[in-house]
Amino acid sequence: MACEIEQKDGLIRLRGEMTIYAAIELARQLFDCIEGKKRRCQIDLSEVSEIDTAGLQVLLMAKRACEARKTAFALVSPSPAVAECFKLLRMSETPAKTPRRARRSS
Amino acid sequence: MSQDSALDTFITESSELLRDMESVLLRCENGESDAESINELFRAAHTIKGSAGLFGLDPIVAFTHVVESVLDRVREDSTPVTAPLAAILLECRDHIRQLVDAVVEGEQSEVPALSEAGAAILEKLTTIAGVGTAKKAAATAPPTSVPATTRSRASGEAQHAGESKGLRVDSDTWHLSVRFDRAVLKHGMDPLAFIRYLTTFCTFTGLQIVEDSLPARDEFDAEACYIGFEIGLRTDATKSQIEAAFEFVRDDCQLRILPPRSLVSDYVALIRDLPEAEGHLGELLVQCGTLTAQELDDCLQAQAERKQAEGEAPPIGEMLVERKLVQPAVLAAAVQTQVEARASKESKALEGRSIRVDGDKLDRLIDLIGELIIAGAATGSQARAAGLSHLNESALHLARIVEEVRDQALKLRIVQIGPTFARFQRVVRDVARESGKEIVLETNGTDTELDKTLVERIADPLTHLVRNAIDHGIELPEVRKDAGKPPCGVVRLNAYHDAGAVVIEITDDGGGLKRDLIRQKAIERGLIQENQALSDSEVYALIFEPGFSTADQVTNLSGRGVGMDVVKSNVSALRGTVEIDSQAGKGTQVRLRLPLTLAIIDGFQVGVGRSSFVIPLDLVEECVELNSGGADGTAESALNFNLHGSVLPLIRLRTLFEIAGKPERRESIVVVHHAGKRVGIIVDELLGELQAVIKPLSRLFKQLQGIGGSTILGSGKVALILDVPGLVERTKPAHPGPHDAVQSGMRGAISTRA
Repeated sequence: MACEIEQKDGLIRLRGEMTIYAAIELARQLFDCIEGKKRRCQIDLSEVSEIDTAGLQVLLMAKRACEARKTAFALVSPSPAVAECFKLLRMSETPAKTPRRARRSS
Repeated sequence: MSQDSALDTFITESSELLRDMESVLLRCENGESDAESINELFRAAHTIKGSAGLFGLDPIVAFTHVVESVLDRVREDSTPVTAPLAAILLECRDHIRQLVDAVVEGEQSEVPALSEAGAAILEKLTTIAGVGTAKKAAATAPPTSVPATTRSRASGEAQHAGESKGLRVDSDTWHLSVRFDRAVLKHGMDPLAFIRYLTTFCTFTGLQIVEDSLPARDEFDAEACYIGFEIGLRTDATKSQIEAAFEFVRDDCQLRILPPRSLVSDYVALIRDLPEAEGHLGELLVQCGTLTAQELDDCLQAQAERKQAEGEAPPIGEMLVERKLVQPAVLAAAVQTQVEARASKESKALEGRSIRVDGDKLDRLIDLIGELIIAGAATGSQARAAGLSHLNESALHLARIVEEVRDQALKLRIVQIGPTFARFQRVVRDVARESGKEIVLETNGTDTELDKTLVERIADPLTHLVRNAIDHGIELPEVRKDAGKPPCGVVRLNAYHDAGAVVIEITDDGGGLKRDLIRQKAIERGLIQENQALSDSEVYALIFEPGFSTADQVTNLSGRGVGMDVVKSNVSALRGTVEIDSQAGKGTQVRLRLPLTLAIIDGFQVGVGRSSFVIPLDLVEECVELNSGGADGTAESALNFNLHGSVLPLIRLRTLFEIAGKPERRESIVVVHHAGKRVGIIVDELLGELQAVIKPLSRLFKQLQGIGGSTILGSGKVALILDVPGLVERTKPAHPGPHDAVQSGMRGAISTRA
């Protein structure tokens, strides 16, 4: 039911369900976590068992927060569930690098 | 279910619009076009397209779209609709009609035969319309046409030449735009699931997450939904199938779907309607396929440069137009859409004054009022029997109100015959062209009112008669000139009320019926004997015999020998009659006589023995006493009566219906008239007026002669309604002559003029 956040070597690792059931707590913790990142923010999604719209929104919020502070943002090693979602939504693992996103931030 | 009823509305609405289009086009063809007519045409096409789009009726949308675009261009050029253009537009209209008919028959996808025919018509249309506008463009060289042409040439997408000019986007992808409401997640829905479901029958060509609504961190509610999607997709599914994917969140999202090759204005409208800032215009255009990413990037670059130079950038929309990347018409079209929306709102307000009611509901209402009349009559008769004056008075009052209610209710079903007549303009035009004749149709008495059911059922027989008048009646122009007549023939439709009936006359000034030819054919077919002497009207009446045709050649219109007998049986089924008059060389007149309404009549009740009969009051002329010396006898044919110095044939109901018992000592004659003939009906008693709700006789009694229906009296007893026209027909002429045999031989009771 819950989603845990683990910080290790500058990497933020999310574990568990990124669903609406865990979204409020996840958002609060993750945003706090990002506050501390100055140059790079990498989020490891390898142990996310499930993701839904609420979970996705939290990631989008995180990305925006980073972009606002000119912090490099990257989503890495997505789990199968996350990969499926990204594929569906045509998101690359590191959305920050796609030209479209880049343009918007400029 | 609701989908079906909505579809019905669409079909009704389209039929009306198509009818309007037809009459406008016919006017245009006669050179009576004005600025308003093109507007009307455009609005009709636009509405049909729009509604068809709602139901995912792609063949209609695709076809109507091209028609609409052409009309739009004609309108912009403010050139009148010329006769050739009107002719081809009529073809287009007919094609749309066919497409709609296909939908009626349950065929929602494309019918290959129809789409081929449609393509052919469109080609003609674009050729004709193209010539008209090209000339104009060359003369004035409007700047607006330049980017349009350069663009289509540049992108090399000329395969839909007619369409791209008509402001179509050349992408073959659907565009789906969806925004979810905040609460959708809390309702237990996951928008991703709907997107995922879409992939089961669609291939996405592009998808963009619209995240502009994401709030600042402090305001972010992780359980609210802030995102939407812009999706380009390819699919074989219909619009309604795509919509169905979002069935569960229908109330929780804004969904817009644009089919492939939509109007540019549709895309613009979509962009405008989206909540996102206009800065996204460009990006969205890329996804819509209006611009390539390269074109957009160039534009953004230019915008950035200018921003530095001037410190302020024009809106991206202007930039795009300036760079000639977007057709200026895109923006113009968007403005146009707004203007139209306002115009349609105004016309809606006018429409608001009339409401569309299901015909079944009206029937049910009239049925109930029928019951009300019966119940009212029962109350009335009981009040009389009780002899209480107060009760009697209120019963009478009630009866008066009921009568008024009846009249009002019947009026609900009453319509003018004008629109029915107007339809024949088209028939006349088409048939005249096909047969190479010049014919005008004149209509009179278009405000004559009659029951809607009658109008519907009379349309077919009327069409047949009009076609007959043109095909057999009106001669070719040369023949007419030789006969000293103007080359242009006239077919006249006239309607008027006469003695509780509606009379519809179809008159032509053609060659008239060929008496000898009809006689000869009738002898050949064994309908009459060679030595029989027939009056003119009797001869003409022969053409109503089944399988009778005198046409020398069978055309595809008429002359196959089916028709006139069908006309007659159709009219008879409506309790109407057909008469025919003709003068060689001068023309022919066919007269249809129909009852005003089918449901309720004012009747005159008479008694014979213990039975009651009702005679339609309109047909009753007078009642006289039968003096035993005036006419008597047992043989029916011998019954005649001297009424005001003329001979009145009599019918004794007691004999006709074989009612047991001896006649009363004092019998009465009810003089009825029909179609210029008078007949006296001998009855025992005159019982007075009543309102009779006609209950049709069941199939079992269809063969009964002289009975038109039944009604229930206030007492609960059943009374039979006399079929007066039938009785009049049955009566032998006052002077029995040698053609008696003909009449009885012709069975189908043909009306002859007295």
